[in-house]
Amino acid sequence: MGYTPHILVIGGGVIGTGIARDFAIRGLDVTLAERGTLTAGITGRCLGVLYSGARAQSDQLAQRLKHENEILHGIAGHCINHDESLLVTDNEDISVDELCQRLEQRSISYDVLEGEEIDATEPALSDDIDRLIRVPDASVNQFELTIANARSAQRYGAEILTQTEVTDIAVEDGTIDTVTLEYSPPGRASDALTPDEPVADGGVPGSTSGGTMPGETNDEPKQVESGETEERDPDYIINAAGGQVEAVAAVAGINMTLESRSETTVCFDSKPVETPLSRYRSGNQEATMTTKQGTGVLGTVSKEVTDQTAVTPANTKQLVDEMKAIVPAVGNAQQVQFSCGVRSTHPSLANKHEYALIDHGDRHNCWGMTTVVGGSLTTHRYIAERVANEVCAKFGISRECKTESISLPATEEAVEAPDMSAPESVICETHSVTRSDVQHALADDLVTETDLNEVRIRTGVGRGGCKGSCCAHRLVMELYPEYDEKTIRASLQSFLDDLWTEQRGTLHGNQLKRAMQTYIFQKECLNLATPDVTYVSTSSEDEEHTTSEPSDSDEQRINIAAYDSGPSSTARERPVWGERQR
Amino acid sequence: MSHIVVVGAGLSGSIAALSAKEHAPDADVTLLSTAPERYRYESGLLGVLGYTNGKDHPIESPLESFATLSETHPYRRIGEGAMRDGLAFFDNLFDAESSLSYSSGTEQNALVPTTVGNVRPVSRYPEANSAGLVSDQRPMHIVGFNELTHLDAEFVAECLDSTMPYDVDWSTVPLPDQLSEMTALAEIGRTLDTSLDDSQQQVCKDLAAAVRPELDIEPRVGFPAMLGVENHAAVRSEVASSLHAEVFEIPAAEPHVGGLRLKRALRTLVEEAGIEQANVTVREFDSESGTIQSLSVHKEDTEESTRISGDVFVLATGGVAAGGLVGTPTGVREPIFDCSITGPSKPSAWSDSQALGDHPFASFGVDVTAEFQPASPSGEATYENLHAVGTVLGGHNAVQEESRGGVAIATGYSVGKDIAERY
Repeated sequence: MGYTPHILVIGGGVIGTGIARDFAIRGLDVTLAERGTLTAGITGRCLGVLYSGARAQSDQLAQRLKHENEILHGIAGHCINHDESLLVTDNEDISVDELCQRLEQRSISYDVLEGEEIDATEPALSDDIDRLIRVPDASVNQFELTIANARSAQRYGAEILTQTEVTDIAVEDGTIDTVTLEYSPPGRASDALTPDEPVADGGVPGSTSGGTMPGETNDEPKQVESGETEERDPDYIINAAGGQVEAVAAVAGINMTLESRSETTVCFDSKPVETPLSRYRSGNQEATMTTKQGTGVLGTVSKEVTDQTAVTPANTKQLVDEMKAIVPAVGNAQQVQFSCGVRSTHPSLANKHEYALIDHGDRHNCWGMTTVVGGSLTTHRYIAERVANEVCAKFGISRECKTESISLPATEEAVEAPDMSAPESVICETHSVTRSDVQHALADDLVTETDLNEVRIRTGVGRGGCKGSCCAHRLVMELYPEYDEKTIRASLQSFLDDLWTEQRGTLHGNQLKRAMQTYIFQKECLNLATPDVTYVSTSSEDEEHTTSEPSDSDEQRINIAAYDSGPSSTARERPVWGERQR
Repeated sequence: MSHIVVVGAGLSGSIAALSAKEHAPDADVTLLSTAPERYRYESGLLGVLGYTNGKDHPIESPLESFATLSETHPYRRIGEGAMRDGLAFFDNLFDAESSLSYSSGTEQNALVPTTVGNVRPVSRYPEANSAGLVSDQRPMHIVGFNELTHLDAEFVAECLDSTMPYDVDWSTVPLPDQLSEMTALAEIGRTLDTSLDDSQQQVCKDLAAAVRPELDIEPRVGFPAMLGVENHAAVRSEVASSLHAEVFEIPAAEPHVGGLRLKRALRTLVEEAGIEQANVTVREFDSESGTIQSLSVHKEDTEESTRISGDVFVLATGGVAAGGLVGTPTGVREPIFDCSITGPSKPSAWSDSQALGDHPFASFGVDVTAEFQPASPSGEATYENLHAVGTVLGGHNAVQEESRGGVAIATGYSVGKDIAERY
């Protein structure tokens, strides 16, 4: 083969990164474009269960899940938090004995816990439960897994572009042509409140900025360029944008109607269980309690979405009640957040693990693009293999899939620890995140530095109850002084708005209380949302300073002499300079 | 002799109780604290009116801007005269002789720096903040600590230096060993408090010694707010005398030392005035022909419920942040007396899409009559002897206006005075 096709993968969830990785390992040229942060869609909002097949309704699906579970244990062991979980069943659906029999048939390892063993394994369980099964349904850190996929793809030559939106896909003669990518990271000047007003230095004329210390280098701090666009000419596009696949197809002028489902999970302020725990339900409904970055998460309520623009979390009361019946502590834990992601699906798909590939050459007379619908964390590698097989066949390439035997890189090995003067200073008390954790996250070359969500998915900062309320402004200072003041403000603003978008879906009870406390702190005490202004003094002795400043907008200049200057400036004792020891 | 029961011991409730006692020295006044933890979220800086609608930058004089407020705003209901009396009452309580002295107060707003290098308009500020006004035009020096991420001194100084017509310098130094393991600023504050008992006063000296070599000629030095909780005046003066400069604080993180100091000071004033106080949870109330008779409360330190009867009741339980108002899936409620609330009932209409936008939830509150009695939707008093003060009052976004402190002081004072004269 002389020509290497260039594949553009759209979507930075676990499936998109998995596909990019597969193509890259097979030696194709790959670009992955994600409009936000990796994992920003449904990947970051799901429970992160790596199914073993124990709960699958069909034996065929069970075998697929079991196989993938084993492969991921082999190649991504470092992303797995818990190897196993507990399965509680009411006799209504299936008895413990029937379930055991099924697990035997499927050759899935298990053990039955009874009496005191239950208490020793998971003390939070209700005393009413006298038998349950331990199965190899694992709990995986989907953030780490997705980043590892992207990193692996990158090592095999893929280009990973985050904060990059596909704004145009040109179609010529029924074939996809040029694609326009727009790079728009947070922290751009247009994110700030007053984009056009440069901050004038109000310092003493003739001197450099008064805060510049002797010996300090005069390197210009970095800024973020706004809205850079770039054209690419891929040979094939894989649309793996999760809940956004229809919108991406529309960019190429393809009108495609799929089903959308929202998946809602509840995040608690504490950790009601140590081991992931599920209540067996027939059908596709999930009732699982797990632990994510230190706090308990319960899922999942799946609901059909009719209006993509107004997705709100589903009512989780029934789910919480069901879990409360087997883990009483769930009733006492504070529900601090409802997280809600959207996945696209298709009536032909029996469950969330299955997938469908829509070849737009066949369907919409648009050769060169395939949309991936459905699929789960557990089946992502398998789906990537099938996608790559199909696309390679179109180009007459026959290279084997090797993703099942090549290990995913761990973050610790991949990112060199940065040099830190004060490594143990705490930034987020709630999640015990230190400056060195943040610097380590930022040192990753996959990271768009001004996107604080990158730090969030790597450290857990801003998750759970605190929502970054006390630490977001401390976190952003890790970008300073490398980036200038304006970029810092814009980056923080963008991060707070992202956090808020997730939070405002369900605002009552304690969520509302916390939201108001945060609002008071950020708006009043920090006074974050203020436009850039320059303060001048028009009192007589300073007149010459103010007139020497460029003055194109009087509204942006505030005269501080008009405000209270403090108690009796005249009555102050003058400090005796000579006594100050140097 | 009448019995006045104030529910809620924040700034508004405490001022209402003190004002009632001042104007009716013979009355029995009971102050019930319903959310004592709330003070940790308060910086101690008090705004009267910092911004009015449509203005991006801080207004210069709160009292001169009253006319721009809506007629239902608490300030318009009270009137300028009572407003001035209320502020004077506050100034008198927290005068130079007080354990927590606030600025005696000019007509103009003062501008204080924030930990992100912005500027905040306030009207009443404690002595700990007075040397740090950015509207005072002397050069300043901002100090940060390696171990503490609450305040990035370089960032704050660079922001202020580039926006202010004077120099702002900075340094970041290590904390003294005795403090270096601490992450909560209030914990550092308490350690500095106790260090003063030690005749050597070593920690304060060490703290100053770390900063001293960094100073140039700046006459004032700003620290993250952490310089003492109980003995803050002494701690600050000790550091100041070692530095030969005035020392000020920038409120940095919850628990705020400024709020803890205010709580202590108010509790002392209330006790000295002969007002009974208790930490309680209010369970229910009894009413008869439109008049509240008594409250059934659960005292924090005992197991049983007690009944507190009174002639007049003041609702000062605070807004959404303090639990004085509670959001439910079907609407916002005032949980004790179930007063009628201003604001949309559907949670989807409670907030703005921007994190720091003008959130409807920040304007939630009870409707009141001209006498500050919680009112029914038709405008009549729900209970003839119930009055509301402070942030439980609705209809204005006090956070955006920077008016929470002023509303608490003015309504607390005015209602306290009125009921003392009426009952």
